[in-house]
Amino acid sequence: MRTPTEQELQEAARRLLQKSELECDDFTVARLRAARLRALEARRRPFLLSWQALGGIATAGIAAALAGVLWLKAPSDLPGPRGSETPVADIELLTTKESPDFYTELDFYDWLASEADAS
Amino acid sequence: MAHVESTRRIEISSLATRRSTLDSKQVLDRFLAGIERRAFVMARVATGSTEEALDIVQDAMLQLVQHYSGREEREWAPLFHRILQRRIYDWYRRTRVRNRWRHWFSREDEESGDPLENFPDPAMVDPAELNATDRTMAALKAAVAQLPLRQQQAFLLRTWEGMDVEETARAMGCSAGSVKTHYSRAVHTLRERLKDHWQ
Repeated sequence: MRTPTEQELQEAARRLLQKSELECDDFTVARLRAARLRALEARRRPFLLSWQALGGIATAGIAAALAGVLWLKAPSDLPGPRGSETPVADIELLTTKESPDFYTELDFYDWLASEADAS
Repeated sequence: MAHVESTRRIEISSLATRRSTLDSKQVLDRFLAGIERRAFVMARVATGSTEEALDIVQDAMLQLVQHYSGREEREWAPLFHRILQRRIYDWYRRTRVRNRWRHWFSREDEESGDPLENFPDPAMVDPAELNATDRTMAALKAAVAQLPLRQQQAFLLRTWEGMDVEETARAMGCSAGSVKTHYSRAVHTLRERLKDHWQ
């Protein structure tokens, strides 16, 4: 018995590797092959991916546009005094010096004015 | 006429692209087929488990294909080994943490020493049944398996993969100086452990 040299150690290690590779049983070899094929199947396809990405961006864009349209359209569906659909009418109401009762009786004043004109 | 010519050119270009993709896939397949068994043996030596080794190699192949298949072919081997060694190191750290928890919760483990050194080797054969050369090989295999992980990685990458110090350092994610230290210590330990088995 003796201490091996570094070179002997390296050569023995290489033989050990070859032996271990050859000793891999068929089942293990088949599993390694299956793992390799799975890995290759998972490979990225840049062309396909770019189209997928473009599709995603287009879909997101359409969804954003639709959401924007709905959001802008939503306030017009709300009931307002005398059809004050625009924000300008709302601001006028807030800044006017007239009493709020004046606006609630606006139909009456309209009628009064038309009666006065008729007479 | 011009339209027909243009369509034909597009078809030829498309065919060429498809053939190029197939060719590169075949090249990658050949590369992985040539490296997978060595990688498996290396991972099994490190983990002592066929299942863990298969998982590690599969993960390394997947990572290489997904992230680096577009790189030049000569870059694949160092990249693959870098991923593989990283996965082995991750496994080692997870196992160490798990074993530490087990150690805390079980007093029986106190006398058992480093749990990683006690992993059974599924490929190990009873030494009594072997001839002298086989006994030496079995002793070498056990001694390599018992090396501390970084020493084992440095020794196997340099000896089995034939990497130089710089390549080994890149694969292990450390400095060239560290590789030299790990390798030197590995050789020293192996020589000491094998002196009673070497003819």
